[in-house]
Amino acid sequence: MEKWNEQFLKLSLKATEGRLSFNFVIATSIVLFWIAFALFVFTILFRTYQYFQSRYRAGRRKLYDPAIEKVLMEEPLEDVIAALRPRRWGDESVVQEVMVDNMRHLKGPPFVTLCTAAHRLGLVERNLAGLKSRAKLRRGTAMEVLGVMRAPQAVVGILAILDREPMDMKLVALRALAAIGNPATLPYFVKAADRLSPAMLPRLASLMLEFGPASGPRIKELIDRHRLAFPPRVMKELLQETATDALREKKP
Amino acid sequence: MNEYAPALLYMTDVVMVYYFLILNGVYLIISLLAFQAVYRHLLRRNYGGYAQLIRSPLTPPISVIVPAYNEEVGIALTVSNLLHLDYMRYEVIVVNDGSQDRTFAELEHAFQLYPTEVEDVGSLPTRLVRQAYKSRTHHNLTVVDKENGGKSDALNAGLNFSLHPYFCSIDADVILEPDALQSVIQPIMESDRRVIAVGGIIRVANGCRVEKGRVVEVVMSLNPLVAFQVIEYFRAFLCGRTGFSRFNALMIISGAFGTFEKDPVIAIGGYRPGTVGEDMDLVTRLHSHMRLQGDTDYAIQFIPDPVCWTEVPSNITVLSRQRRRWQKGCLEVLGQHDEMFLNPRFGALGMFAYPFLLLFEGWGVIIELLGYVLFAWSWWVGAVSTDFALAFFAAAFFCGMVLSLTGVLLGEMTPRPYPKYRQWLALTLYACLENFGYRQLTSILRILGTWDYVFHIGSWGRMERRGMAQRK
Repeated sequence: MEKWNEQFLKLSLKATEGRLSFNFVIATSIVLFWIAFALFVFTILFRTYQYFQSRYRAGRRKLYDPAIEKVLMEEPLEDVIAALRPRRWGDESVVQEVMVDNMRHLKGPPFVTLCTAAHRLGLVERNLAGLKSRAKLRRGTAMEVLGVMRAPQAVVGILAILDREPMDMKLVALRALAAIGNPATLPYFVKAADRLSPAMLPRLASLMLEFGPASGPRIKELIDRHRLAFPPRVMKELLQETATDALREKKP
Repeated sequence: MNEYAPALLYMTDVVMVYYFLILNGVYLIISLLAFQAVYRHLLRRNYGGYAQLIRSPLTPPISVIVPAYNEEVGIALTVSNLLHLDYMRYEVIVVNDGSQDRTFAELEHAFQLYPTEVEDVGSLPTRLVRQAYKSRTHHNLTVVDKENGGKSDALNAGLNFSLHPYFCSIDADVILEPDALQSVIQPIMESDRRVIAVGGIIRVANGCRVEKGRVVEVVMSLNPLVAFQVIEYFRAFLCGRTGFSRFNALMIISGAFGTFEKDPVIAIGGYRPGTVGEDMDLVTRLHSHMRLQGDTDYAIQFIPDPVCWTEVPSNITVLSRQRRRWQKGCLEVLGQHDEMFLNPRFGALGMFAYPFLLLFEGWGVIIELLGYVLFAWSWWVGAVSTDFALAFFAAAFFCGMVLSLTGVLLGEMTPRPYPKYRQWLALTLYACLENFGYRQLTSILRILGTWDYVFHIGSWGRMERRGMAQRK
């Protein structure tokens, strides 16, 4: 056994060039230790930030939630605006969150009241400015919010974004345009199809359906230009929907 | 012979050190990529537009297929949970795979089943289907009662009865998040490539408070074995699968929850009966099918959203059965697709994911265990100095820590993290402790799984369910 070990040692020493250096291993250990430590600290900070932010926002939301009750009770617009007016620096985003969350579910006069309030409180302008932001998150959120608020003045800004943004943001822009629902933007959907991947065209068509009967001819144009992009199932559904829309339009 | 043996040992020693370096280096790079992917995904959630997507008539309907074998404890609750998902058009197909307990009776009682003349519309061969049933209480529920043929066979039977272009296969013991189907359909609808399969994060339900088939409070189990698995799941799903998904090189979508386009699955003959790792087998065959057809413009995606909750083994016996089965299944699938190895035709899958899985996840466990033994022996005989051994041990420990903490951090970033600080601290502590015992235990279990594969031993085994209905 001793002889065997000796041979083992001898061969080990001979071929040291294949072995990692001690210094390399030490350096790696130190680097990895600091990465692990940084991850630990980052997670603590992240958690703490999330915790306090969510608590703070929940607290601030409570101040503005009663305004929605006023909207539902159809109280005067001025009262609603007064209840939604930000009371502290930084509350604009909380007010916006409260309004947008509710606008997603509301229809009719309450929705119109909130839209007017959003305009009067400067939220629409704030998001219009957000369309030009350098931060992708800010631009994306601005488009989403303007879509929910159905702000017609956002159309030009969003169309500009449609031209220059990458694929995922194009989709957000198209979604916002569909939510705003101005039929004049429909040709841009057909035009956008040329620059989108065929796999995304059914989604594009589904967004065009949001415009209702007005979208029929444009959807047909889209299908004619990109027939292969639509699987039979999608084609069938699309034709059914456009036909139903057309019938709805004919009814008095 | 004696002269060569030490040299061989020495070479093995060097190979092991480099094996360790490459393995962990790749994991670190994948974790970094996963971090970026998760961050982007979470940003996108802010302007996701789910509501419009779900409202759209063009959003495809989905068939949810649930194979059930001896699942009397929780089947009614699982199905009830499935019937209340936030999705416009979907059907639930439960396949009773010849259960010997009261699985069917539970379903019959809970959903007032009645025999129907509905026939299977598919073409996949399966064991004899005795009868199909519809529910008087839920129009979108179908129960298929068939002879026992295994999970793959049951899934194929479910596929034969499914009416929709996409299907979601889930285990009978999982709890789905209400928006699970919305989450998985978004990449299918909004990707710039044809997405043929989507997977999501499976979270550990042990310890959580479950009410009426929903996880209402995320709580970490006090069982250390479960806590180790929580870290393992975070690491595997959030780091590994998210990272591989970025190259379209994902080779596995968990059988507990996966959504697939039906046509390509039918084209490859559905699930392969008799396979242990039917989930990995299906995904790998889908890749193979698409690539061999010359279609590279497809994607198999993974979304870092928690989509479902499952019960993990809480004792070593069950864990052992599960890990042996996983290892055997993994080796089986890798063995059946050896044409992918370093084959540029398969893209990143052939050039990177397959060789990585084969060398490091499949057979690497042998090198790993040999490494423990040989490194200790080398130190014992003095071929490796104590200083070097300690430094190497520290590097290995910190590397494991970095990977686990990345998983934990990503888990914190995704929806529904562990809400309490002490739970997160416990997770961090377990991330340190898993290097002392748990990792070695799983290596041994994987070795046993490799043994099972080589000598064709074992079958599916049985997971003891306590039923999540009782978790309050």
